[in-house]
Amino acid sequence: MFKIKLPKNSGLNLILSLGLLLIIWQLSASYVNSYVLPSPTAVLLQLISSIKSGDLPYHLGITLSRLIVSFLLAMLFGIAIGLLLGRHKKTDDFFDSWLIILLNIPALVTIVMCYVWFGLVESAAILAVVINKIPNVIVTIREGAKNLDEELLQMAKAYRFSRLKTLQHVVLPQLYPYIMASARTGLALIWKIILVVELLGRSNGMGYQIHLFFQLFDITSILAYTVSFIVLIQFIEISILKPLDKKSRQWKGS
Amino acid sequence: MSQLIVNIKDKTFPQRNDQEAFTAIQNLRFEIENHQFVCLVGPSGCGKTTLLNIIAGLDSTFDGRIRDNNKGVSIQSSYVFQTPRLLPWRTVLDNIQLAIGEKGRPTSVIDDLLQSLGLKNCLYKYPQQLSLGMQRRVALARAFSVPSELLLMDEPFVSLDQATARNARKLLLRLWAEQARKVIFVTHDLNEAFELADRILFLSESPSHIIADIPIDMPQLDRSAVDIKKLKEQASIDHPNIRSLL
Repeated sequence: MFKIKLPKNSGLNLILSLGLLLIIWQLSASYVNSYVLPSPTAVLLQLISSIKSGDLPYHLGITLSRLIVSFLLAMLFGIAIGLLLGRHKKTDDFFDSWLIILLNIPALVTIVMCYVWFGLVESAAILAVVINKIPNVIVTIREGAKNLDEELLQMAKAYRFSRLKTLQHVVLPQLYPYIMASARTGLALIWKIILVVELLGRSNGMGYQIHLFFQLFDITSILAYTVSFIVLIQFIEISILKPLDKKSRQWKGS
Repeated sequence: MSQLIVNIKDKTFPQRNDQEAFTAIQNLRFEIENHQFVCLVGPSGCGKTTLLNIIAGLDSTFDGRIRDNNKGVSIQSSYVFQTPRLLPWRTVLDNIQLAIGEKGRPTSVIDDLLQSLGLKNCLYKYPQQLSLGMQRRVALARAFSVPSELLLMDEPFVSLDQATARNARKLLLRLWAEQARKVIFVTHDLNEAFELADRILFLSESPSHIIADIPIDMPQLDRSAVDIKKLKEQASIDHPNIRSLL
């Protein structure tokens, strides 16, 4: 019996793990030897040429801007509604069934209905994404709002905090973990939905491009676009979400 | 002279699921003069915290009225709860400034107050970095930093060890001497009550009302342990109905 010793350094671990994935990809690509499974090198070259031609940055930029707008809208309204439902039991009981219905409508149905009702326009696309995301935010934030510390809320009332002050200093810090959780899952969910929205009714963006490549059977480009998107989302996670997380935990340190 | 008038005809918690309706307070009425230090003593579960919450304006579902004879209904009070109730994600300084309100106070004033409570260099610390005793003192500093006329205290020293609690009581008396205001101090510890109060109100079992009102004329700082014992004996002679509590 022997054990494989994994290095303790998490960075090194990541490189080894990704390296293994690349090797498997490369080996299977050479084994299959077909245009339906291009090798990592081919994808990388395609990625570079798409960036150089300006196509990829353009479509990625369009998708990213849709992602940001719909993400912010979904978070803003989701937090507000979630907070309302979490704090008012009667309202919550009444609208609970609405939420269950919203949660269970397939994303594709919302998208199609939005395009049918509002036309193939930008706002319909954004609305479709927001409607798909909002129930998840509401459910998460509602849970947080139900668990707010009543004693601290009493303290805020006794010392006559204004509503805004209570929200800023008492409520939001307690909701922070829930907001971060729904932001994380939200980002992953939204970008998957956005591609479908673009595929069905927009003439630009990643979804549109991937649809185009699919019709041309250009698998290399599809993979190149996918890689670029994964890198981008990881970049957002590392450069924005992680530091926000760290900042919010500052007070927990010794 | 401003006088606080507390008049609660009835406070009943409505029936809820499996719990029956419960009348906590009935026909409870008393007045507090300016700068008077009143201790409220009563059996546990007799509605002392409920009473404080009503006076603080946290609970408005009762029949009766709380008012100041000078001003109308609005009474600016500060509240020291059983637990410190500091915002864990704000520094000590922020916790105090937030309670003070719009303008806040100069940091140096707050620092002086904290220093006088034996809390050096903790303006920018978070509550979790302090011991429970220190957090309670921060809560006390918060209550005294707010420009209130009425200080409500709900067994604020309850889980402190003897020595710390004794120090905390001394600090409280000193702060109160410097910045006099009306105080309502809830406790179940009679020695504490006889040590601190100008006047002790004894509450009955719920539905609670006042069963004895004992003024104490001797200044707090002159009271020795022997005096406190004598005061208690005198009280039990004057008020046979509360002898069981004493």
